[in-house]
Amino acid sequence: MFISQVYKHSKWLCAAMILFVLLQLFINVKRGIVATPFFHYGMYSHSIKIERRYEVLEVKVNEKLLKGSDFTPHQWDKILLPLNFYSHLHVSNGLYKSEVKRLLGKLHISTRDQDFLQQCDFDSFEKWYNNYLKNVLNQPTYYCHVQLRFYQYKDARLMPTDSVTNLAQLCH
Amino acid sequence: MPLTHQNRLTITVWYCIIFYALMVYKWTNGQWLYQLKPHLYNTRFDISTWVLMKTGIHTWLLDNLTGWLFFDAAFYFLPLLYLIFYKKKEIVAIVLAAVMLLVNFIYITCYTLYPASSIESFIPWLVFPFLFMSATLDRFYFILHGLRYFFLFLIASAALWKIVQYGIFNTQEMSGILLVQHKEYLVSSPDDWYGSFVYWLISHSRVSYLLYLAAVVVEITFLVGFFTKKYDRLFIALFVLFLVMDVLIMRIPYMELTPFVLTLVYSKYGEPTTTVKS
Repeated sequence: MFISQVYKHSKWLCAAMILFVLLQLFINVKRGIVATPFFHYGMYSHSIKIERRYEVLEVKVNEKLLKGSDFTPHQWDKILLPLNFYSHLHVSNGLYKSEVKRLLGKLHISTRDQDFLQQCDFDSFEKWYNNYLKNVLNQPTYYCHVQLRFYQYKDARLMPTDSVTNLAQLCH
Repeated sequence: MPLTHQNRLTITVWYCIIFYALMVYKWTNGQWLYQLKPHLYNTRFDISTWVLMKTGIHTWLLDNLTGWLFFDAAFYFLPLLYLIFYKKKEIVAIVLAAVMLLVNFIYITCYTLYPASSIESFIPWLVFPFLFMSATLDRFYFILHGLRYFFLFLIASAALWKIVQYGIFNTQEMSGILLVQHKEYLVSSPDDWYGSFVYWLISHSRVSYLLYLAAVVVEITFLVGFFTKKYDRLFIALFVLFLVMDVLIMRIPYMELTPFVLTLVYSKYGEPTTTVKS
């Protein structure tokens, strides 16, 4: 057996490996929280049903809606991920207030708000994103508008609705 | 056939080849830190990450071109430096491997806090430095095999999660996933070949569910590797299939996991007979 071979070679290495296995199993059994390098590999494992409505980001540059088919997967992610991150700033800040402070406090580790909290400064983000997008698209972006629109899944197609939220509102 | 020092060198060289091939791939896709130009971050539910965040290093890196270039340089230069010293002075190489572990941890933790990629796929860069820190060939052999088991667990656990979290019991699962994953693509490009293909899969839930089921079967097959090394070549083929299908169906490139293939390729070699360097 592998572990007995390791034990014969070095008790310390064996103990380190057993500790690694136990920590990995603990993280798996505990669910929820992880501690790098002990992760869950359960992406898309919970039950996901077809919903009636989906929130979809629309990015318009120079009056034209950006099309996924014009970009590689990496470029498309580069366009959308910062927007997702910006719209989730309140979740990130909430995690700090509800969990980070509490759990690090239990370990007697103090925290400073400035290391975990970010302001919803839309003007700063918009300026940065326009400049960033210019590099990703490799073209001037004299007009850029982002909004979150609800789509209905109907007749095997996502159909737009009139329900729209501007990016500036999403962070709060 | 026992593992030799030559095998160890070959594994190290291959690790570097994979690392630098991915480096070029990421550079051409604008995935280096200086190309991502991070301006904001999202905190995740990860205690180790929180401890690092306490240092403020991730906020120092925001809108900081000098910081990005320094971090990219340190992260991408260390494996080469390790390889150079491994051939010349092994003890320095071992220290460099420890430095690589620290640098990789800081770089990857910060990198994945920004809008870039999820941290899970970067796991090889966090565990392989332990292999390179081995002072003896025996230790290298045992850690290499330990990493093999870890890789088998990683893939098989993905299947187990799909069972315990009930994804496998939902026949709409894959259609639901495709809608969540590709919604922006679908509304912007509904009629190109890929948009039509995804819509077809979504509306044919049984077909898409079979793909999901096939993925679970492939993943759970890796459990066999805990009992025998006989099928390691098959696991390599299945892993490549897994990578290709992830790009094709999900548009998620999991290329960073590739170094684990080395643990399967070299699993056939037995325990070294001597630790003296030839």
